[in-house]
Amino acid sequence: MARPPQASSEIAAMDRRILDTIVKTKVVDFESLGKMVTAVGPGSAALEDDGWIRWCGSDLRIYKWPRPRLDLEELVILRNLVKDIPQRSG
Amino acid sequence: MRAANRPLPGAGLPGGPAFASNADLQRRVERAFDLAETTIEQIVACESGLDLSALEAPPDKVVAETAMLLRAVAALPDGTVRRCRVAALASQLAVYAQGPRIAAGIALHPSLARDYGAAHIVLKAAGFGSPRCDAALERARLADAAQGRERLPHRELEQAWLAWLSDGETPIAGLAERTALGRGIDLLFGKRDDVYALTHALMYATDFGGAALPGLPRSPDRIAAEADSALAGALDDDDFDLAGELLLAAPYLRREWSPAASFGFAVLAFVEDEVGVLPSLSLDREGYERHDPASRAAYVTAVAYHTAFVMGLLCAAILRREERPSLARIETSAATADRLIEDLLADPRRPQWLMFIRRLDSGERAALTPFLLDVAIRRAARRLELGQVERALRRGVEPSVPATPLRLQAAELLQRLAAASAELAVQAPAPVPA
Repeated sequence: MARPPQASSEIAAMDRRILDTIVKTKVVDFESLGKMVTAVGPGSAALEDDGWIRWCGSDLRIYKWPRPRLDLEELVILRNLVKDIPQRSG
Repeated sequence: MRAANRPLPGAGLPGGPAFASNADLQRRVERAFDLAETTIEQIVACESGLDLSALEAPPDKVVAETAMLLRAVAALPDGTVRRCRVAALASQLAVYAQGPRIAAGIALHPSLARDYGAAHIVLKAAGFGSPRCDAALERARLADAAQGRERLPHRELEQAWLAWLSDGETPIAGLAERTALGRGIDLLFGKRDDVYALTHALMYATDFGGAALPGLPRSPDRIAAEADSALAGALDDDDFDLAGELLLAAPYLRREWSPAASFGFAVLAFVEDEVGVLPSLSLDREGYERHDPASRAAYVTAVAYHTAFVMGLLCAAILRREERPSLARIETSAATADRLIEDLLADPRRPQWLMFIRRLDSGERAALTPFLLDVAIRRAARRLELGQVERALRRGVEPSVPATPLRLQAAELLQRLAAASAELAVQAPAPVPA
């Protein structure tokens, strides 16, 4: 069996900073703080995905299209759609 | 010694024990190349009757992306795709990449010359050049308006990459540093565009993995770790296009495959085998049915080709390296991983990775604890459920769970909000009396 990957010095430094934050903020009630931020702040909406996928093409246009959910049932449908692509013999 | 009841490595993976072997990867590259030939025939070489711009597949973009895939395939040892097929596709592409429309575009808009000439430049780097196109690009380069367009830093880097590929021009010092490669991205709240800025900057800075690494602005370890954290978000959004581009970080940065990246590749390979191509999220039945039966095949090709090409680029890049995706096991208990999976399953969202992870054995699931924490924290942070963010951070404090950039950003988020809590309390609206 493999051992845990050896952490680089940068990953180890991140570990220390995360642990330091946990120690420093252990008395903070983050449940309440989250509600407070939700009540007064812009929420996460400032950068939130609005349901559209965007892509910047090499022709400098910004493309966007709606983001449908993809579940296993949809995969079966996609498989049927893809059958329409002509098969190559190589 | 392997216990008798333990599954064989790769038994649950797409392709079985051959997962990510040369044969498995070659099969996937050939599949993408098949689709490249079909794409050019169906939506570039003939009138498809489709609004290709509306489908985000204008012919110039399709031709440029096909040239990029062709170059990646041409760099592979003979036999993955037969040389005569590569040469035939290159000749077909040259008609569009080096034709009169491109010549007119380069002459009219010198500041966009390398955008118009991108497919030609890439074809030339693959050994299929055109002196006429080179001369047109040189005339544009000398024009007074040649630099007359401001671009985002990663798009500037794209221009520098094209100039280097075309003329060997040395990129301006400090260019990569201004992109997401140097500055990083917001892994908790960042948009899709931000992640694209990272993946594209990586493609250009490394010449799609082909060049010896130039002076990257941050260590490859740090960039690869950031790509892994961003991958957790892309997989959780079922965004296979973005996930595929993020997976390019391992071969392009010439790193060992992390457990998260190996798992991401397995998910994409699974979905690709299920569907027949790695699907784009815009490929849906509704769009299909809106088109008349005669143009439906072209519609599927136009919508499906990009993500399929990303998978082809990824598999070609892996084939050029010795390091391969391989699901690691660790000796610690999978209790934390399994609790996280259980919590995530309580959410109505059912991304493909969450279906797939249940196929893995407990050691493999345990190795994915950092990935699971990244997913859980990103979801909780986006809902501003800070208590959950904090609990997940605490769960990650284990020697067998290496830190991730996303968890670092989450810790910094908590620290900033805790520091601002007094001010937030003053500004909070007064409760409404009952």
